[in-house]
Amino acid sequence: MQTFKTKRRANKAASRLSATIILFFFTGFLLIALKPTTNWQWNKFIMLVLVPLALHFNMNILPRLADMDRLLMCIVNFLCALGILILYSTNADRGIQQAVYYFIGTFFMLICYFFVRFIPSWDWFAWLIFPLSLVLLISPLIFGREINGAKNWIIISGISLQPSEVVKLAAIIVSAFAMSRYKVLPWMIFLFVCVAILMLQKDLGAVLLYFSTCIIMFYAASGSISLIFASLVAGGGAAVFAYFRFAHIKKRVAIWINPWADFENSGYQLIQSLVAIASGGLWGMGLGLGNPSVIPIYYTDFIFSVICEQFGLIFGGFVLMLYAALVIRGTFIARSAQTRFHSLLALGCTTMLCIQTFVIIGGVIKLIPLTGVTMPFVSFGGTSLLSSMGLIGIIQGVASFNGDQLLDDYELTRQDNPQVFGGAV
Amino acid sequence: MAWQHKACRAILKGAIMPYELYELSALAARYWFVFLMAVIVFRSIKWLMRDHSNWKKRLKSVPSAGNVGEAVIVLAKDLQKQGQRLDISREGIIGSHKSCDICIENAGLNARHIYYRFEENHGLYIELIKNSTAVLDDVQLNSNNNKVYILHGSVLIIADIVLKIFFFSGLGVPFVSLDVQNRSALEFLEQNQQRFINYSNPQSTYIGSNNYNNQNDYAENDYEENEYNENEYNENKYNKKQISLNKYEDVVEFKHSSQFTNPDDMQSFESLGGDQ
Repeated sequence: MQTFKTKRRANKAASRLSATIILFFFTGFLLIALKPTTNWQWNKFIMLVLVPLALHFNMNILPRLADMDRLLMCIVNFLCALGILILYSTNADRGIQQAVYYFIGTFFMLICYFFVRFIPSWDWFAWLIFPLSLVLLISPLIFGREINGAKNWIIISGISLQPSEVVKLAAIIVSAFAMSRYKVLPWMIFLFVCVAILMLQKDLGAVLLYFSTCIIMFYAASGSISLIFASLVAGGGAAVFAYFRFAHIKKRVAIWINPWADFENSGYQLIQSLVAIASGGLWGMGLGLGNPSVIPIYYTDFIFSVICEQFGLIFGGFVLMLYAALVIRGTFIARSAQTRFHSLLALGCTTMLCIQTFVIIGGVIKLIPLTGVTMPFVSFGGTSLLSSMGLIGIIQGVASFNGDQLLDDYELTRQDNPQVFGGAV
Repeated sequence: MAWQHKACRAILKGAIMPYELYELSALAARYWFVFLMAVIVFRSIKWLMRDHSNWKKRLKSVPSAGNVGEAVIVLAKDLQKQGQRLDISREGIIGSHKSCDICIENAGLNARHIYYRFEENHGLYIELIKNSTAVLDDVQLNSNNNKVYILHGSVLIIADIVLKIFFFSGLGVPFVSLDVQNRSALEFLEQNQQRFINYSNPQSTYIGSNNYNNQNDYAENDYEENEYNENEYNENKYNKKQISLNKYEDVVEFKHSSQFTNPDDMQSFESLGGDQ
């Protein structure tokens, strides 16, 4: 009776939250649809119907079909839809493209979810993805191309791919597997090779993400302060080495310290970002208003500035709170996991998302030097959205496991059926 | 169809407001969006908090949630540890480091000694980490062993600690062989003591007694051969009397008995129904 009541209350809360989210985006897309344009665009009205429908499916129907965590789905879908809305308000084509990525991302999330949920043994799989991910990571060095100072893109039949984004998932799986069995040496070799390749590609953001996530996972698995301290010293040493070795890192630090020193060239992007945030004020300039396109690459790295400009600082603060809720939920799922591997898997995915959010928002508001990572779920980009949705798929898989095992435990140990010790009964 | 299309287009075109009006609407809508966002965040946080308190309640109602059984220390050099019950989670590590899922502080144990994983209908799959050694139901294990399972009632010896493993019913774990079930933990230890360097320590309570017919003889001879003081003798004799642990009930009884270290407390123990 108690369980039924709790379930009904949870369903009610989920319905209310999803209804509010759908209302938010219906209003948003309606406002954009009513915005006067020079030529008639049917897609405005298609988006007005399609996005809320997709949200309804992902937040209310999919979690029931696949036994997923509904709160996590609500938060993630809100952030994805916010990205689509912001991109659509600034550039319709980019918004539509992002909506397509969102649908593909949902599909990819389901694949990851079913993968975690139903894979019988991780032993062979973890050892298989170990070399595969290294090959994938090396590929941009051989036939990749350099974009924004980093050589981390490959183009396969016209489609651009960033392998470091995909390998993120593999790195977490390998780390969780190795640490759950305390196979430290293979894991250290893997991490070292990954970081070295990323350094060669000059992908500073990815290096920071991989390293920080693995260190936190290692601490969670071992509880060893001395090893963590040694890793941090090594990481600090590597950062100092990178600063003196790579010119573009030196440049980024210089921009961070004083962007006004070269406000027309290297500091221009950061200054425009800060100006956009300031011009939005507390309540923003209004959806579809303002001039976000003056910020170079506003649609990927600087999407948070655009959010603050159009919706205001209060709204920006609420977005950060939603990210915090996502991280708390992920940690909660990791804590409730009943196996060491699943716990580390969920923790790794949550940590990756948390650090990525911190690094990009910190860079945009000039808290830390800017690195080329995207804002999870919101920034424009197929690979980024796919990998973020993949991380959520893994967390959802672990959450589903937790639910099943808790139900088993409840059946085994419920009050009217005292727990008995015995073999195959 | 063409006229319908035209009409529809005209209606929708008419719905599009002039730019000034749009600007005004967007400015007004800012507050609406912030309000909705505040509601979304508030509801999310409320949901988080409610789930957290529900989780705590559930853990209280199902205290063994997440565990598949228990490992009972039936014999250890450190008498304080005897009778200690350790929860077995679905997956984890046995070792002496505090971060281990089953942490047993013992000099003979590696920081991370054994990796284990529960597999339904099979038992507890174990894998030794690095150069660790252990004995499971009289079989010496090392890192080269493939697919070794702990069954219900199995006896696992690590360093100078003898653990008896019990699984909750309903998990489909098979019983260990009758031979193992009927033997006492002490017998296991005596048979396997040569495999561990730690047991060659002359101060150890459990060495130097290979050919005893029963446990009482063992305790008496132990007293005669090794010059233990009377208190030590009584303690050891007392604990050894309870070592034949083939059923879970015995373990519980043993746990009660292990609280008494003073021989004067024997009477209290007997009143609990302890073995004499």
